[in-house]
Amino acid sequence: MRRLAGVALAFLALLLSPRAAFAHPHIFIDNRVVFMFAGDKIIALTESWTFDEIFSDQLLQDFDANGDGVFDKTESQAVAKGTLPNLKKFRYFNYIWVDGKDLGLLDPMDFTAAAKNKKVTFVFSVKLPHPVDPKTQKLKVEINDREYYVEVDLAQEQPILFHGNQGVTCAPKIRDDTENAYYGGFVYPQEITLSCH
Amino acid sequence: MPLILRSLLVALALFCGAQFARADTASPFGVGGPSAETAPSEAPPAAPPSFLRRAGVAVVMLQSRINRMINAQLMDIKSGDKPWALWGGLLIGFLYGVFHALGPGHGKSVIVGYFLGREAHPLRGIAMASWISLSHVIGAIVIVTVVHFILAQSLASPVDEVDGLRVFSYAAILLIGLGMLWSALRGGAHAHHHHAHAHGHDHGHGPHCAHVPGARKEQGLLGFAAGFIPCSGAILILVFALTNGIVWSGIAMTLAIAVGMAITLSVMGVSSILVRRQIVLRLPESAVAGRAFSLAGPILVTAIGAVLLCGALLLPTAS
Repeated sequence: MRRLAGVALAFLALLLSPRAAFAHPHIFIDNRVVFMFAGDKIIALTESWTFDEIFSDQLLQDFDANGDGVFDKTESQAVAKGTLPNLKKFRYFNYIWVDGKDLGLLDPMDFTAAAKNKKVTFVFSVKLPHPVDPKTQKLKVEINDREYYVEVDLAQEQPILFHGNQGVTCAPKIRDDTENAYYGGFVYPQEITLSCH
Repeated sequence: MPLILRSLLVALALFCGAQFARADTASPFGVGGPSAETAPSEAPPAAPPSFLRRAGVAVVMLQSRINRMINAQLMDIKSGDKPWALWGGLLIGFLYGVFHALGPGHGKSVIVGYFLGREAHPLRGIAMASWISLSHVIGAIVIVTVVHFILAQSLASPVDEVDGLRVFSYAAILLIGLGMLWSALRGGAHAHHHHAHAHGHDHGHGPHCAHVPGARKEQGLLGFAAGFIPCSGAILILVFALTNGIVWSGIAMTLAIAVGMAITLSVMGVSSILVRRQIVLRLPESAVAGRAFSLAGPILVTAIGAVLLCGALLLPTAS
């Protein structure tokens, strides 16, 4: 009986949810992640977000001041100024855990925005507060917008790469993290972990 | 009755209390000035039961796919290279409408709530569904027009405006619900009279009831209030169409969405009407039962309005 009431209530919640925003998501990102090594330790992640046609178009309209279809250095800085402060409220979509501990908000570095074939790509790095030894420590990375206005998906081809690793070889593991489901529990983030030796 | 009322109140309190929701319609890239602050919770939200969850996951994924196709299609229409792009856009818009209406939202709860509580001919269900869907398009066009031409604002994320409008829509639903409740309480004898007749000549009953003065007006008002707040999808399509000189294609795609929505909402409306008739047939022949049931519709609509309104009011105000 209790269970039934629970189901009924959940259904009611679903039915009455004021989130007309059920139409989400509206922006799509193809994401690539490079794990940056110094020797056998991971010191940073470099992410590159490629946006869908529509949002790319909007970014170009807003920030490609000279209309040449690419972002030069000044325009790229304008993009950073125009988007990063707000993305900060969303943790830049970054959720990173070391041995189960959430690293919290990490500011991006070396941000650039580039446009090619009418598609815009953001590239930036996130420095880990302490180098992580992937052989002994468990690094877990999820990159997503918990509001689901934006859908961040790992790219189809070569979504994860490794750079500068010496004395260690890693293979990525990607799975749906059902425990961290968001958007009412209906969207599973992609969880990236590494197995290294 | 007290039990029903009490559980409604509990549901309401739970809802307002657990109002997880924040302004979630604004672009996090800040192009257009959104408002949400995010304090990501490490504790995942209470997961819905597995069946609903699986269904929800499937619907959300489908919605996401369709949204992405709409984006690609709009670009094709804009570039003008592919002559069939508009037709593809219409088809995708239609599918979007069908599935969009499946997701939770006020248009659906209002039509189900209303027709569970009010006797009506099935055609009225289809009419109200179409009206809600049409209001959706009108709402999108009005909002985009107002924001673009009158406020002359950047339209990258005009959905902030909608948050304010939503309050009006929900308040209107609440008021209409209260009005229905009031007239049901006052016309209690009348409602019972109807109920008593329902057993005798059920077939003639529906259409007759639809002619009760005010019923159509009531459905029209309610449908408009529920439908007027457009989905962000329709708005974004129109905004893109407007800024890229493909206005008519944008409007056509939005209309295609409305047609799709109307189909899904019609199924919901007509089912509610039929379910209600089955319940009425099985009601015990007592004045109290008939009276209580005649209050069900008004109470449902009132509760839906109240829940939606409290949800909308609890959203943090846009910065």
